[in-house]
Amino acid sequence: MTREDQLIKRCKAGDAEALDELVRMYYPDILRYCLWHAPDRQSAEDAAQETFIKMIRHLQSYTHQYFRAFLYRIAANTCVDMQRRKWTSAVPLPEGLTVTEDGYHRAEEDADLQRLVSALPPEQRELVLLRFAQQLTLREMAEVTGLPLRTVQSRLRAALTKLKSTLSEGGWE
Amino acid sequence: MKSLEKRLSAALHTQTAVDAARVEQTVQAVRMHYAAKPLRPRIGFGRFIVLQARLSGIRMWLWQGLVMLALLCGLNLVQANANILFTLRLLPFLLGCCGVATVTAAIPLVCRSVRYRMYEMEHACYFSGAQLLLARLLFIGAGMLLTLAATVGVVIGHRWLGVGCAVLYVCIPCLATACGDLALLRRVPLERFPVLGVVLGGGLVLVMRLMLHFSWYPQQFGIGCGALCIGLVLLCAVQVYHLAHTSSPAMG
Repeated sequence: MTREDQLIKRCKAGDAEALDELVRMYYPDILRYCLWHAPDRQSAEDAAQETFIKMIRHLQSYTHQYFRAFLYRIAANTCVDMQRRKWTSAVPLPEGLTVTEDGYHRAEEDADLQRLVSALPPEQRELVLLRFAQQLTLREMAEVTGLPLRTVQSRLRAALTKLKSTLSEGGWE
Repeated sequence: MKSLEKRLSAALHTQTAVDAARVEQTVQAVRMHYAAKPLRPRIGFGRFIVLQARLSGIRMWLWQGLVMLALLCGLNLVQANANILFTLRLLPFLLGCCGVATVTAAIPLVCRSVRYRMYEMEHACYFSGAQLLLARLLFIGAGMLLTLAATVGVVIGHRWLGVGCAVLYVCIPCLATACGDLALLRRVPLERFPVLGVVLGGGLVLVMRLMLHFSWYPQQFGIGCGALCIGLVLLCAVQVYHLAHTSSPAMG
């Protein structure tokens, strides 16, 4: 049994400390995901908090083995809900760019890639973010998006092909 | 493509600066929510049935026990006040009436279950209104089985009829009524269900009376009667399945 499984079991048994640990364990990942979808940091933090509250609400119904996928699915739905309610449609650049003097060229390249990803169609962008920003497995991505595994694979491949061709056209390679 | 994937990982999987105060705030919010609505232990349908038996099953069985007592008293009264030949001629009809009455007497119990659609219960537990109705139908079925077994037992005990005939005369009207009532429960609005249920029971009694008049009652339990019983049981099972799994006018 993994540490995560133990924590979930303890949470279900009523252990509040296990719940704290679970929230702290996943907070950075969920915040990073929300930063991609929210117009500003404040909204992303609100979305992350809402995600964990919803997780508690639905934890009893969680029975399958992909907890990360379960959590990201809640986060995705929360972001969609909040976007409908108040957020604007503009997709900002995420925070945390490495902008140091010696790594300036690298930071520029990263920013270019992030801009290109932001310009992808929403369903392709979501898959690229889940795969490369959140480091989810293909199976977990299928769980989060509710798509068949093959569809996830083909859409991801299409997104990468599109990125590659845009990079070639722009002379960024 | 591999190099692009590496570059994407490096560009997108950035370290996110986390505000410790905000993490604490989130933890507190989640804790508060957890304390306000603690997770409830999940129970299976079997355990739920056992719990419900204590809450509502006993009351239903008491009602069905009263019905059983009335039927047995009625049978004994007929036997005591009529000559044996008359009793034997009338017996298939009387047993059929017992079967119909047992099912029809359960109509108020079902109506009570669905009148408020058991919303309070549905919110308090993990089972849907349809599953709660299923639990009630199981209790009613158990009570009916006991009532009918007692009726057949009395008939056999008095040596009025053989086992096969007694079962035949009780089972077929009872199953036919149950089938009809379940079909009504699936298809008609709840407010019309009690009246239509009673009309159905009355209609079946009339049919049995005509069968008695024209001497159409089968004299022994044959293969055809067995097949008819099995068919009716299957039909009941299908109706119950649909009630538990799909929407109906009664359960919404």
